[in-house]
Amino acid sequence: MKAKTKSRSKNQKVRVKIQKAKGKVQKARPSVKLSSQEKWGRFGSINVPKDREVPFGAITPAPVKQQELFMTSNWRIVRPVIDHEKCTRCFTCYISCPDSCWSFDEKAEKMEWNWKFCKGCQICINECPADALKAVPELDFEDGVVRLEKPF
Amino acid sequence: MADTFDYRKQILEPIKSLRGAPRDEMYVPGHRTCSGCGPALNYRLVAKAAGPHTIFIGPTGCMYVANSSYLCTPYAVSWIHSQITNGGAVTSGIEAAYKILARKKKYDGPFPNIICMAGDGGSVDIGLQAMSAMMYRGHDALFICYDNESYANTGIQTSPTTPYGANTTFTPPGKVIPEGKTLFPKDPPQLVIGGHPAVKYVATTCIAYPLDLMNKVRKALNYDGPTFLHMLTPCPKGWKFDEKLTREMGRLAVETGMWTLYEWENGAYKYSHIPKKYKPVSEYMKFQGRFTHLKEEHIAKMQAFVDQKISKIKAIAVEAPIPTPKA
Amino acid sequence: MAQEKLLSGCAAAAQGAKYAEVEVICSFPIRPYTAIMMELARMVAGGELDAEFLHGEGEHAQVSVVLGASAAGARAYTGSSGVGVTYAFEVFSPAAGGRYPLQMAIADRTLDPPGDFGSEHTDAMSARDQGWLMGWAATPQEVFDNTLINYRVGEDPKVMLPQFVCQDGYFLSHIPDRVILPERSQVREFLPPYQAPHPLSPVCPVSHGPQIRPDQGAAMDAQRAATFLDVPKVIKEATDDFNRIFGRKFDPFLETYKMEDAQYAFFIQGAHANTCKNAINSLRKQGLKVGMVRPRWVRPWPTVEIADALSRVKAVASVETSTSYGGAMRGGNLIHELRATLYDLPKRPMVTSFMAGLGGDVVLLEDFHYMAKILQKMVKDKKTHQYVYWIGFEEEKEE
Repeated sequence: MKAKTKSRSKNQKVRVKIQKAKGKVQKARPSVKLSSQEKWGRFGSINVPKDREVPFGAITPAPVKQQELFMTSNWRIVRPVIDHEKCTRCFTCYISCPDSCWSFDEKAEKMEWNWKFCKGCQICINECPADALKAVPELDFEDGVVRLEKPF
Repeated sequence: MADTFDYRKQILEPIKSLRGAPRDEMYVPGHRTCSGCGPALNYRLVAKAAGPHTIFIGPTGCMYVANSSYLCTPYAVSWIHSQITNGGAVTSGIEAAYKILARKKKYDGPFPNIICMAGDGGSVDIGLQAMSAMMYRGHDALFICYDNESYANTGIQTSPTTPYGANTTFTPPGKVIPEGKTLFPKDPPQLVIGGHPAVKYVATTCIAYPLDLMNKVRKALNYDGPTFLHMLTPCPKGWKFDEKLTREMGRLAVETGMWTLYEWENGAYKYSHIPKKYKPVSEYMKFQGRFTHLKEEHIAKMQAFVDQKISKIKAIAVEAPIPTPKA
Repeated sequence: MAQEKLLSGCAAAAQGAKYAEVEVICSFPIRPYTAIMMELARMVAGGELDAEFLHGEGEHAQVSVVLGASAAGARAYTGSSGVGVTYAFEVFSPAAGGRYPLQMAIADRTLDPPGDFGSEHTDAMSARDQGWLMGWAATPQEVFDNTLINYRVGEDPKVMLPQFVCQDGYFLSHIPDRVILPERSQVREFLPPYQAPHPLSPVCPVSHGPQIRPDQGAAMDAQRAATFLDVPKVIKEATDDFNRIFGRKFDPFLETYKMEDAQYAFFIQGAHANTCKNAINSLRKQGLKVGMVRPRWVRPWPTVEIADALSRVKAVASVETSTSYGGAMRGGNLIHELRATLYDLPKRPMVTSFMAGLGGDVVLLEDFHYMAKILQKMVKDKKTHQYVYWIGFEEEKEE
């Protein structure tokens, strides 16, 4: 920046010299002509940073098997534990879960539990006709969700 | 307009068993509904029955806000938010668009299942006008009233389907009004059956009877024309019961006569499950915190209301209940 | 085949919708726009137009129905007047924010209370903040042309916004004038079929409008505003195309009349501009150098073009056919935007406003003569005596 001003003043000095020599006073060069847009259309620009972008028209893609953006595993304080011996594969737990956390593994022929989304509502435990499910405190498990970063 | 137009449509087969139900989830895990949410379970069953070739319309309510927080939804099929006031109208627009797009050959797939998933308020209160007009205009779409008996999403306020005597934040019990809610509820299926000549099929369902529910959804979707389902969806937060009892509450509602499972097809009623002996309503109400303030005389009033409703049923032929899986 | 017909504004709007090959129409009767729907009903029943014609249960439902149709990928059309417009208000923002390019023809009408069938711009003007494109026509030909231009601009992938195509009730909606109807091929060249970017499809699932957090709401608003920075370019491009294909000579944003050497100007929108032009002719005969600027768009407001057009006049009068009770100028609403537009001009013209044509009242040539007299007095006294003049309702002055 400084260099520019220096050269500008140099040029001015030169110009002045010439002017003085010629004995004429030259008018300063007129400013650049602004377009109408620049004159009265100064609306600025709007730039939404990438991490704050909302999709066009608030239209989002549909999930396929699970909505990974909203995991609810840290809601539960108990989790259902299944006794595969007692289980009769009646599919009651499967049809009772609002969060579709029970599915049937065809190969293993066992009911499979979705730890990512179970909220621990215990409907499946309450409904199981074979008494194959029981509620176990979440924190009893090694992979149980730690709800507090610091204990009281 | 296009009544005689021949557009291809899927015919959905009845589901014979839980094991035989489609395994694909169209309402996937990952939503901010309450733990044990009845409407969420209902949505899952409806979406499962409808299958992938479906478009849902979601008027504002729990099944909009709780499901789609934030900027993500659990719908594996197309879905659009509508205002709580205009579920029926937006549904009509989508149906009409598909009719003309098919006619103009801009769309060549089978006609999609178009389902409006409105709450009780969005069906018979603020959304009544739009719902009725959709039924009247004869659109080939399904209007579902999922009934959690309150405006739940805004913190449990009374709606026209809230039962007599319920404690909601707009009908709190107090010295002057001991029972809380003094009004008896509207009957949504009767509103539809009563005066809409284009309606083909109306039914009531309950989440405690999932096969019955899914088959009624499929039956409704198979019909050409507007159909209406009134679906009981117990709400642990609003009704104030332990969240593990959601399905139990549904069962008790049917067993006490608070809820009647039936179908109405071409003028004839067909009942889906009539208990041999009805339990007293107190068996249902004792689990729910919204009724604990009620005195003997209020419960008696409720029983009288239910008895009167039940008495109308006994005169009509009853079908055997749909078998539930054995333990 | 191009043909010339004598059509009222309503009939011209219906023809516009027909040539645009709209696919879903939702009707509900309210004066004076009903004639548009009656005409379209006749066309659909007779096979002239292949569209789904739905009988909405109210104006709120009308806009909701066409919103759904637009979301599913069909070109949708509806309309209303007066309190019908305000009844539909809830759905305006969802339509604009959801980016559904449906069109609503508004033959404006005074708002209740009580019933008044006469025209007034307040009904649509009160919706101008909802994010739609909006503008008034002055002749039935312009109503027809605007119907096509608005679909073209609204459905442009950079824009994707719904549009209000407004016309004065009765004065324009029910008085016929010559309209040249083009050939189908010309319309098809100008207006390509509607392509929704992410329609509600059973094959390609999408979710329209999930719940957002408040900080996401701010971003949503910013993105909607950013679109409006791009709209004027699209309008210019579309109008240039329109002029080329149909042989017209529209300026995209304004109609200017005798502004080349004008020292005074009227700023007026809608059908009363025709009376204004006649008044200008007679005023010029009296030696007064007066002209007219008529904005063809209210949203986006043609800030740059209006500033340019009025940069050399000494005084300008905005003619208000709408009310903004308690507003800054205690009169109408054009004055607020006009003053804001002219504020940065190095030589600001004096600005005042005149309430005229409210309630469906006629605007007379004498009224324009009166306005010109006031403008001259303002310039002579070098003072804006009043921001607003309620013509016909002013206190008797002892002069």
